[in-house]
Amino acid sequence: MIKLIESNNSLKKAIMDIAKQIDVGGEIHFSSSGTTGAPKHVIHSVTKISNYVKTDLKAVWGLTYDFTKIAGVQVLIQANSNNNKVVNLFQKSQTEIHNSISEHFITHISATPTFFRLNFNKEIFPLVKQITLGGEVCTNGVIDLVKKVFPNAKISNIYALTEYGSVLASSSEVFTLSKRTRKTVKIVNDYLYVFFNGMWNNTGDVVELIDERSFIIIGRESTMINVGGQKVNPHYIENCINIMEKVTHSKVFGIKNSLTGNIIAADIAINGDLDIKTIKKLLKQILKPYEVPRIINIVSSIELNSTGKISRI
Amino acid sequence: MKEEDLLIIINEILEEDCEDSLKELKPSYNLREDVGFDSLSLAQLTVKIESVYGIDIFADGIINTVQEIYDKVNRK
Repeated sequence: MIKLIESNNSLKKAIMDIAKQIDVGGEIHFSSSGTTGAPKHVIHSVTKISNYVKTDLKAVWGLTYDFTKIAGVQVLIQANSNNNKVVNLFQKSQTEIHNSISEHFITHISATPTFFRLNFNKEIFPLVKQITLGGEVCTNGVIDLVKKVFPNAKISNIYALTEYGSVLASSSEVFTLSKRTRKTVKIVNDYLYVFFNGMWNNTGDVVELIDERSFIIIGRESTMINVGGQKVNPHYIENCINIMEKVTHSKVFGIKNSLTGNIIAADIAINGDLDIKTIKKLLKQILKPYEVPRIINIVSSIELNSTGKISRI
Repeated sequence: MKEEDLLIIINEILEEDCEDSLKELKPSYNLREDVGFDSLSLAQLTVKIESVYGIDIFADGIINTVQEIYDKVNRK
C-alpha cells in the first residue's frame, strides 16, 4: 500500500480509496483526456497495468496527474506495488511543488510537458532520479528544460493511449520503431497506427518521419489548423513562442474567417515586459508567414483541462 | 463605422507588421495596392472588424476598397 502525503483530508481519503481499489485488483474505470473532444469511457484491468510495473522499493513519487485518470492511476499502481511514498502535487502551486520535491526527497516525477513548462525554470533538483513525460507532444525544448532542472534524472518520453496503455518510449522527442514495436506500431500516410483489439487503429496522431524507423509526433490531426490550405501545427508554434525570454507559456489556436479559413492566434502569458510587436518580429524570423500568429493576446494565465493539458476545446 | 475607427484598426495591423502607419484613409483606397495588405492581413482585418462590429466583411465575396468596407458595415 502507498504512503500518501496530502494535507487536505478529503482529498487524501479520495486518493486512498483509489489506492485500496488498486490493492484489491480487478477493474478500474477511466475517462480519456478529452483534449480534442468529449472524453471517452475506458476500463482497464489493474492486473494488466501491473504487468509493466518496475521494482523500485526506494522510489518517492510526485503525483502530478489527476488520480481518477489513467495516468494518475498508473503512478499509484507503480507506487503501490513497491509500497512507495506518494506526494500529491496535482493542482498545487509552484512553491508547494518545489517545497514538496525538496522536503519529501521526491525521486520520481511523471507529468505532462505543460506541467514542467509551467512550474520550472532555473531551479535545480539534484535528487530526482527519473522524469517521465507523457500525455501530450513533447518537444526537445521541454526535454532541455527538464535536463537542466533535474540534472541527475533519467528522462523518458512516453507515448501512450488511454485505450491501450504505453506504446513507445524515448529519451528525446524522436521515437524509433524496434523489431518488437513494429509488430504493434506502424506509420501510414504520416498517421500513427497501433494494433490492439485485433485490428490496426488510427490514433489520429500525425507524425513527421525522420527515416523509415524514426519519427517525431507533431500532434493530433484534429488540432492542426488550416490556413489557406496550409496545415499549421499549433504545438510547434507554441514551442517557438515558449523559448522566448519572459514568456511563461502560450496557447496557439485558429480564428475562423471566410478569406483564409483560419488565421493563427495566440494567448501568451509573460513574466516581465514584452510587447506584441516584438513577439511578432521574432516569430517572423523563424516561422512561415501563415504560421505567425496574426492576433496575439497577452494573458495572465492559460486554461488547462482536467489532465493538466492546454484546453483546446 | 467612421474613418477614424477603421484607420485605428488598419494602423494596428500595419504597426504590428512593422509597416508605416497611414495618416488618412480615402474611401477609394485599394486594400492591397494602397494600404499594402496581403491575404493574411486582410484575414486579420476581417477578424478584427467582426469582433467589434459583428460583421464578416468577406462573407459575401471579396472586398477591394475602403468604401466597400464602410458599405458593408454601415449597411447593418
